[in-house]
Amino acid sequence: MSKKLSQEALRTQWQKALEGVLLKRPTDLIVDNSTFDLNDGVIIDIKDLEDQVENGKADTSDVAINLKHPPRQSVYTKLSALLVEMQHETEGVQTFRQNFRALRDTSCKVNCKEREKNQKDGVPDAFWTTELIRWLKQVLNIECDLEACHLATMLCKTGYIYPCNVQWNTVNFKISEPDGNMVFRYQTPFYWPNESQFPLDQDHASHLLMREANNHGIPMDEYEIMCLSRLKKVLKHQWDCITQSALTQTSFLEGCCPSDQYINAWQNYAFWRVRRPPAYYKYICKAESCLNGPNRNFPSFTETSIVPSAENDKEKKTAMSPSKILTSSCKRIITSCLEREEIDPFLIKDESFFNPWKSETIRNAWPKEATESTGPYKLQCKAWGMSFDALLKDELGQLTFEKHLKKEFSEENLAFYLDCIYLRSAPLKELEDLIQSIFSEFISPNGATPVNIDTQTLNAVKAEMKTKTTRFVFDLALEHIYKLMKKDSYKRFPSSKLFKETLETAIVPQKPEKEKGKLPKIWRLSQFLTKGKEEDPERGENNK
Amino acid sequence: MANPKAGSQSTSIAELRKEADQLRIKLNEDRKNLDDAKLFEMGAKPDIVNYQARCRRILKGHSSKVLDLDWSLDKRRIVSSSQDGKVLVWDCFAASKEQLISLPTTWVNACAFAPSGCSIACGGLDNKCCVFPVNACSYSNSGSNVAGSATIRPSGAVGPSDVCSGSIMQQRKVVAMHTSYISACSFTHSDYQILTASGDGSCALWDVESSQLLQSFHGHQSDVMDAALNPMETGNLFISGGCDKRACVWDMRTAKCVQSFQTHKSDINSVRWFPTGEAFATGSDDATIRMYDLRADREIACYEKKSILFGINSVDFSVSGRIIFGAYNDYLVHVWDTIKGTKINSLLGHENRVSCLKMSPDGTAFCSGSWDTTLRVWA
Repeated sequence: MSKKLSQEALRTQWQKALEGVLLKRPTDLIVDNSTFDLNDGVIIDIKDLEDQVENGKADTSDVAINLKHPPRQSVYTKLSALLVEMQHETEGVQTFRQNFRALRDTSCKVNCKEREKNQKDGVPDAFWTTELIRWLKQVLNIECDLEACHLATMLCKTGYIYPCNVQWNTVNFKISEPDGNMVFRYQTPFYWPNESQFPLDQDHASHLLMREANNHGIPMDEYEIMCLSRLKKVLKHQWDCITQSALTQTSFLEGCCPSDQYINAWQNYAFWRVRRPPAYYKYICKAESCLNGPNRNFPSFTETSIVPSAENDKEKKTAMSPSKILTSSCKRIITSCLEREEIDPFLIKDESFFNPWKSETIRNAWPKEATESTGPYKLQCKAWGMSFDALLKDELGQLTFEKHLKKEFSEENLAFYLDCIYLRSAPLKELEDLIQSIFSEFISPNGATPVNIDTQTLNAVKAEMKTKTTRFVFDLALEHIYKLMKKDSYKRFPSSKLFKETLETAIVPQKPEKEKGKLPKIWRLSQFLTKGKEEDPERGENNK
Repeated sequence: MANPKAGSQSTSIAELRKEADQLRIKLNEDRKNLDDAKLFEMGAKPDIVNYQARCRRILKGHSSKVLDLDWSLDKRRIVSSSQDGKVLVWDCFAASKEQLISLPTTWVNACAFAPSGCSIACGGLDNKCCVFPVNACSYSNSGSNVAGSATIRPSGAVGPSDVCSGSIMQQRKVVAMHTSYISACSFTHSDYQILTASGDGSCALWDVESSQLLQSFHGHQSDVMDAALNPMETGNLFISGGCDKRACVWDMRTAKCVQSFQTHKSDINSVRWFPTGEAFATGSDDATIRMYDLRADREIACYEKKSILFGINSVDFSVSGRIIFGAYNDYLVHVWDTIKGTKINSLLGHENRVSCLKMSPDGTAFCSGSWDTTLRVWA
């Protein structure tokens, strides 16, 4: 017993890190920029690793360098920090030594827990699902079990932890309940997600060969066999090298103790589960195909932490009183949100409103287009009353507003507005003619229907037209007319008789009556049209 | 400041950069001290939103990751593009495919539906944005001008009358050419203009017919990931967000950046306007959604949670603006209350990253596309 202990003590912390156990815990989830010292313990220094190398404090061959923060996926920083947090001796996830033989025999779970106390050779630093979920909920303030389970699943799928001795893949794997009996270990930091390292096909091939030789209790699945045969074809000329390297690795491992063998096997298995191309990726069997899209040109990532200091506090007191602009902005946003809830199909409290997407049968459920003859829908109409822009964008709204303006003898305003808006997005070749026609009809005093703008604006527009004819030539006049319509005609619009009548007679999308007889529902129909099983989103197991 | 020694020059630049970062942080801190989470304080009074969504349709048809989607103004059709170069037009309500376009390029990052519903634009790694005609096109959505002398008529190469049984690639029109990949494209208020955002750091406005560059907008220091046009027709503004963590507001007349905001800690993946056009939200890789107000010229809200670690690919508002939907990399769609800042819900359904999310034009449903090759419509 004592021999074992001293050996343990001699095991360098570095080796522990390689096995996935990190010792030193930073003071906060954001790793501070403290000195990176191998003697103190292996910590993940995420920031300024280049500086460390330059100053000679860290060795380039350090495993930690491979953890160099990939600038784009800042999620990896957070996950790494979370993992370090988890591995804290007292406040992290409680681990135990798992008897790996017992893992094979799933029937004796209860006995394992008792036996684990006296284990001599077992797999160190394993933890149960329950413990993991409990810890996540506590540290990250998650109320819901499902959420914590999902986060744990994501930790596994991104490659930070892995279940021991379980055949799993990144598509189907799910920690569905906190009381599951799975056992997990931390993935070694060398294998953590890293965007600057691309796993090679050769490595994938040698891994698969090793699994073929000895799968440590987890049989190869269909996809792995297919991958292996594909790689054989693709890497024909290198195959000898690959087989040789696989043999060397196997013989090396044979010399290690059984628990190390298992750890190594599980680690590699987990790593390749995450890195290998997804099964639906049909054309090439490339391990690099975990492409995340086009390479982004990002500036070098520097996350400087906000250091609250006493000086800032002083400045707080002498600062100006809270800006009124912000309050008015917030007020504006809140009032518009609350007002518009009436026309929001997700938040509407009106029972009679029928959302066509919620119907279970498609026939006749889609509401017909609102045309001039049918009149607008109620929600549509309400939106006109709330926002001038909504009114102007909508075809029917334009018609209704035109009628309103006719009573006020100012319908040319609307016509001018619409033409100018069209001009903004008109095709290039029509530009000249359009500008001329708008000018001659609306702006020029000799025109058919001149709009009511003051002489100052008129002269400004004329000047604009002489210097450059762009699509924004009439903007001054447009703004003037828009404000005029909004403050004048539109103000009277919602209280006008016309609008009130339209709102009264507005139609509401009707809920279709239940169809009689056996008419095929959409989900049944689709099963005939496409191959394979069509998953129906609405008929779960309960709706029968 | 020419320094003969290259080493000290680079250190001085690094030092300057650090100083600039520190100053920026201090500036943001000062701004924060003046107004801390005001919106959420004021939003504490209104009732809590009770919103439950279920997946109503699952659209299966892509054989690879779905990268982008867009609704048609008829509220029923969707165009979606994927990594294998296929662009599909769906009738969402009937859950059927209407048209398939196969592009020779992979990673079609962006696709958009024209307002009339008669053409679609798509672009990606080929650095080009092309416009294709849509087979089933009805003129009822073309929105004829009511009382004006000019009428909107589809003139030019892209029209349904040109659709014949010939190859779709012959009917395509190459509109935009950038020097790097296209990350976002959208039609402006008509079928004749396209706004594109590209990985070369610029946004550009193009005329569809002549494929001419009308206006280009430079100012971002790295890739632009998304651009969105102001929903108000009179608004000449559009917003863009990029990998330099900045969200910029541009004036289309002057091609200048009129406002810029930098409070995110990582790339901005998506920008969307608030329905009234006075504020906008951005979603980023740093797992936060932030809302900026134009008039107040600052960030007014930040939607984040300690347990949410994964980045956001896409955000959208509901019609009222009360709800924000975020498409996250942890396979979930998280639903936030805009004025309270709390998370209402998380929608589970996708089996891989949710890459795009869009609200339908009338707000009755929203669609999300994911790397698990499916699209889901929720209501």
